[in-house]
Amino acid sequence: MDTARPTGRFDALRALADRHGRPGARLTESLSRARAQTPGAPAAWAPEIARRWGLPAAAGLGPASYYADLAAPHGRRHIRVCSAAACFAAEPGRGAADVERALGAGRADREAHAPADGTTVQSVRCLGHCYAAPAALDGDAPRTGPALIGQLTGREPPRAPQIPAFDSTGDPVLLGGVLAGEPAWAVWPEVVRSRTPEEVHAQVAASGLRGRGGAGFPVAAKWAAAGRGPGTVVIANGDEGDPGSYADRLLMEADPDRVLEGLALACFACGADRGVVLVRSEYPRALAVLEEAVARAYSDGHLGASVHGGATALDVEVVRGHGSYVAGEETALIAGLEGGRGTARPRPPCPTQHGLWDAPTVVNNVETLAALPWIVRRGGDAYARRGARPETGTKLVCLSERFARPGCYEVELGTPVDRIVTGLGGGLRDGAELAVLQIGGPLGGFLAPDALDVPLTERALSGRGAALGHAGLVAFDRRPEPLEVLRHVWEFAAAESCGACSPCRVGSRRGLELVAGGGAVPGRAPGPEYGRVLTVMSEASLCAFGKRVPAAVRSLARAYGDRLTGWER
Amino acid sequence: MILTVNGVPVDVPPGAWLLTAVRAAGTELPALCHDDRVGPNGSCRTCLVRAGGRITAACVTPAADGIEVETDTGDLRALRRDAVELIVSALPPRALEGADGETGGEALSELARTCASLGIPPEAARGSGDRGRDDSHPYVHLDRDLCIACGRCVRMCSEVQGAFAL
Repeated sequence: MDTARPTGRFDALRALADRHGRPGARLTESLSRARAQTPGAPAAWAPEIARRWGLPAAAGLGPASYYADLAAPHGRRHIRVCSAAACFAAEPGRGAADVERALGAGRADREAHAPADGTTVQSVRCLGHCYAAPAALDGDAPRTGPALIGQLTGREPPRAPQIPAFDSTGDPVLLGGVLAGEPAWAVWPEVVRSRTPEEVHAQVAASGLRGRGGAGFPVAAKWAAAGRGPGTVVIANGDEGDPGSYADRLLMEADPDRVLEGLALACFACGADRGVVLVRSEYPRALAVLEEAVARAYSDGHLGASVHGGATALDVEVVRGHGSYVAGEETALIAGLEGGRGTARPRPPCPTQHGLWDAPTVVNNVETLAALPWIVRRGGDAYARRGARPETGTKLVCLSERFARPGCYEVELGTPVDRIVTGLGGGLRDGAELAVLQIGGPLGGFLAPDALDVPLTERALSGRGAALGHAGLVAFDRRPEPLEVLRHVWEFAAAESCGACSPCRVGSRRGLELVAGGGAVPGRAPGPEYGRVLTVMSEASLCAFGKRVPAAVRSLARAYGDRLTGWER
Repeated sequence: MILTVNGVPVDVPPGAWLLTAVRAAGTELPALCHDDRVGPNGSCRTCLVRAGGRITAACVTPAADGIEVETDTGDLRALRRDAVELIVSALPPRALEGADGETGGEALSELARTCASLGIPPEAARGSGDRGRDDSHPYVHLDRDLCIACGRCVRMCSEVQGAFAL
């Protein structure tokens, strides 16, 4: 091959799939159908699926052995039990193993065979029910709360409350539809009739809107990088993997039309005639609701070959994810949509240049897109007056079950974190004492209770060794031991590292061994190897996941202070 | 395209990667996932250099005109060594031994020679080595315990052989 061509990239298997009709997500869906109710390992069924698409065994075995949903054996009844941050904080030390014991089930992520009664239990990381933790999905039916096991054994009635949603701004950008019934698709017909892509782009540039998925990249700059090239695709990233966040689930389930209108506006501004909504499999309700909303949008003329009778053409499809945290990273998400393993790859090339099947591709988070109708209707300047310049606008923050008033709140960026914790969240429930607060998921960080006098902005939080991320706020009370919380963070890293690069693949496991091993003692500094592992991970990892885990575990140690002396190295 | 590697000017063709430029300057870096016959992967992250002030894996970073590349600072040497040592830490001790159990000379694997050159002792390999083998093919053998997930075999099989068997 031409090795002197770094701007392109060559993946021979991908090129082969390209020549075989680009099965992409259809291949992964057929793998998923084969997996349903199959206890056997992927080797037993994945090669045959790939052959049906005219592809070699590796094209089936690759994704089938990578994605959590496809790799895990499925019995007739399959239960996904959340073991992520908010569920851990609600009931430290409990989880999938307890469900497995109570049901006499087989643990799908550990054993190769389902038990005779056909129930399998899979430990997953975040189902987006953090306000009512702990949580599980029995098939596609959510079950939540302290009586979780009773609900799964049938002794208790099922319980899965709606997401509590609140506005603290007085003029919500994102929750106007959810809370006040403001209809979506209000600006789109007028935009396609009488505005230009340049005008929409200019409004978004003036708004200062940044990506809300965690990276905070200026939206208008990303759109400009794609350059309205031919075949441009815009992807709505609904793979809300950050434990503790359920803002995207709220928007997709309670106001899918606003998400789709935002996607339509982004497509229009980027000159794209194709949009894709990627919804994680952990959100089955969101998937169904969005599919209905897309069908409705076609019949109402918002989408189609001639939008509202004009020259604009726009097709949108909804695609389901298949588990695994890193699969939400842009390059990994695109690899997944091409039918491959959802692992990160080096940049350049950036997706805006060489994305989905090499087309210019813009990936925007669901919450980012949901802000666009407001910005286009009220103007970029109006949005830029909100929030805390240069971090303009509002943000959805999600408060976990440990809070007295858990739920999803729309706040102005720059709102002091202590006001969110105390004023909105009401502090912790039952008078419990806050030990540490996790902000921004596994790539974010932890704050001590006396360090909450910080505005909710990326700049201010990174100054405290934390990060805004997707703004999930998970409160930990004083019940779990600090070393237990540290181990929990490493367990997440080791389980969810995509394996594409060695620093993260090996480092996350080694970090977990060093924290979970017998030599780990609170108050006693770990050996020098721990610091070397953190340095290699943060300096050398391929994507933000491995790069950020060290900062998160260091910030946890700092937040616990004396209780984790030495682990901040 | 002219750039400097440790202050030495190097001329590379447009589209070259930094690793090519570094090697053209006569500097060797560990590059466990690299093979000139296949496209770069950027997975082992051991060919770490500082380019334009930022630490990056040279094999997947495009060379740019006028850029200053550093390879020979104390922190970079330590980082490359620690990155290789981390990979090795997951392997069983036999990963750094020769085929005949020797610990020196030509019998050693590329990985073992790289470790020797970086001063990583054989004791660094202390994985449990219980991941099993696949000997179902007459001449392609997979010893999972020795795998460092560099992806060379996969790329060789697909890009060079066109077999897509891995």
